[in-house]
Amino acid sequence: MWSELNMVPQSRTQVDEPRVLVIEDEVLIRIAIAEHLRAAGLSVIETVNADEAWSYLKSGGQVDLIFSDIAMPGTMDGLALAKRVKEKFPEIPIVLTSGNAQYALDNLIARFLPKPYSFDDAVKFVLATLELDQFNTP
Amino acid sequence: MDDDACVLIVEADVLVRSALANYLRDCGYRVLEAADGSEAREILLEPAAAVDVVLANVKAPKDSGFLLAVWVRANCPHVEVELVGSVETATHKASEICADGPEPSTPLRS
Repeated sequence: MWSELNMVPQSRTQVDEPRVLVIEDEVLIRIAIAEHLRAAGLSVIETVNADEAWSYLKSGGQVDLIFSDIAMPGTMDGLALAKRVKEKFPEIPIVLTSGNAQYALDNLIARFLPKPYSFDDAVKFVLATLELDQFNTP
Repeated sequence: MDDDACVLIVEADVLVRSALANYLRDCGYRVLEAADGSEAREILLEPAAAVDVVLANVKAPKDSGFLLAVWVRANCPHVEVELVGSVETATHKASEICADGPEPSTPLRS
């Protein structure tokens, strides 16, 4: 890895489209949902797990929405990431996905999309969340 | 390169990976991202991925870019592999790929 790298993400002022941070450890699912979101006109950052996503956010990477799986390898899962994001970046809306719907009942810190989801439904869910967030922003 | 030319970036550092991916997308490429060689092989085995070029860090975790290149040569001989070992060589190689690529669908960002 190029850990000595001092590269920063491009400024949000350079892009017009909303940026979604996708966190999914299943690579083919990640690619598919990312491509569908891009086809819907969104900018997408792909990360493999919550640790990588947190690294991106801490580095100053700005996103308009986080779309994350819950069960993932690494030091934290999607729920732990969502709690950290709510503390440090409360303005970022979060969509969590999981095959275990109990998460939806137990955790109200994020919007919830049960798995399995169709990619079209996921895109609609993300777009609706972005629109809701826009209306909720003063 | 045709209009659907695809570059697979294999890089563990999310900041480097996303910067290279965004750059090549702006160049008009379809870009897929893998964090390591294992993910890269899974993508390459997916027919719908239709990867044309692999741009891989030689220091990719789990298995090196060199091992990935050997695997690609044996299993996907039509796929070109570009190994890079630093940010400088990666950006230089990306700019070469960009110059050889399809017409950008949107103007390049400054």
